[in-house]
Amino acid sequence: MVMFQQMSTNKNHRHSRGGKNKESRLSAWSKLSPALRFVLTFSVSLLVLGSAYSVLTARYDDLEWLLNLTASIAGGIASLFSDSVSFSGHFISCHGFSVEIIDECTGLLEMVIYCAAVISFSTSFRKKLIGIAAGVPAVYLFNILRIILLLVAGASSQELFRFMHLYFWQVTLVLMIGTIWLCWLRFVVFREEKGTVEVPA
Amino acid sequence: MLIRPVASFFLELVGVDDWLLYIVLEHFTNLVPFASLVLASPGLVSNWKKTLTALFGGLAIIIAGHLLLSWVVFELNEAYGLSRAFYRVVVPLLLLNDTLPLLLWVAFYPRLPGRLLGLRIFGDQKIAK
Repeated sequence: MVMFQQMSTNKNHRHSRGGKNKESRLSAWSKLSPALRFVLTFSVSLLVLGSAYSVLTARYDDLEWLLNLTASIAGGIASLFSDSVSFSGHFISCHGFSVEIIDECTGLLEMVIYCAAVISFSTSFRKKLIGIAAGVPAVYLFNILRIILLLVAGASSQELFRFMHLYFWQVTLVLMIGTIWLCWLRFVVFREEKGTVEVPA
Repeated sequence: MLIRPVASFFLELVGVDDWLLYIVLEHFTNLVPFASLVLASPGLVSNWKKTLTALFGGLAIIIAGHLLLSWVVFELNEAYGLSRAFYRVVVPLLLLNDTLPLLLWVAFYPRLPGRLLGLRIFGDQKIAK
């Protein structure tokens, strides 16, 4: 019995020490600046979502419909402004310059990044859901605009296309995802209602 | 390639004998948006110490990221070859690399994103005056 009590005490002691460790880890986490916490959470979320994207696209290896849809929408919109635009399958051409829509042009990777940014921000589940439901189509539309701009650039100069294709991805990443994420914060997370302001938990 | 001397030394040190530049080179352009974001941030001259810290600190982190990415890509290529499995593992790393400019900018200038909206996003979660 004594032995049992000792074992139990030791176990409690170990448990309380474990609890203290957990507490100190939590307090160390809460001592970090909110911006740094966001950056770290975002990095982890991005790695998890990015891995999920890779696994899912490898398993369901059929993005053909999305490639065709993206080419049709971008080609359809561009053809409203110019008769020289034509599209078929996942190819679009303008003034003899042709582009092929590949997996990376569908905006899926940008959506992954945007979703990671929404998930990582400290707010309610409902607001995150609204952010993803409204933001993902917005990212897709921005991406269509990016393809049209690249097509116009390529039709005027191949050099310009190469330059924009190389640097535009980075710039659109900042502009597109940053703008939609800030809009979500302004109009959903920090929404003002009848003189009151909702503050995230 | 300004970083080639440093890169060659580092890659040789970790045993990389083939720098797969054709895979990673397009993702090295993330230096440009980061430098642009820092230079476009307020206090470029008045708070020049912070600007220089952010600029050189951030660029050093990004370049270190390029070297690490090159190393990891080489090791993964050795393990998987240029297969779908290789692509599957590399994509999240490339995504992280591509978003690094934005993340570093938020880390160095946490109040600026909120100031665009008149909010204190990364402050004490209260609305700014």
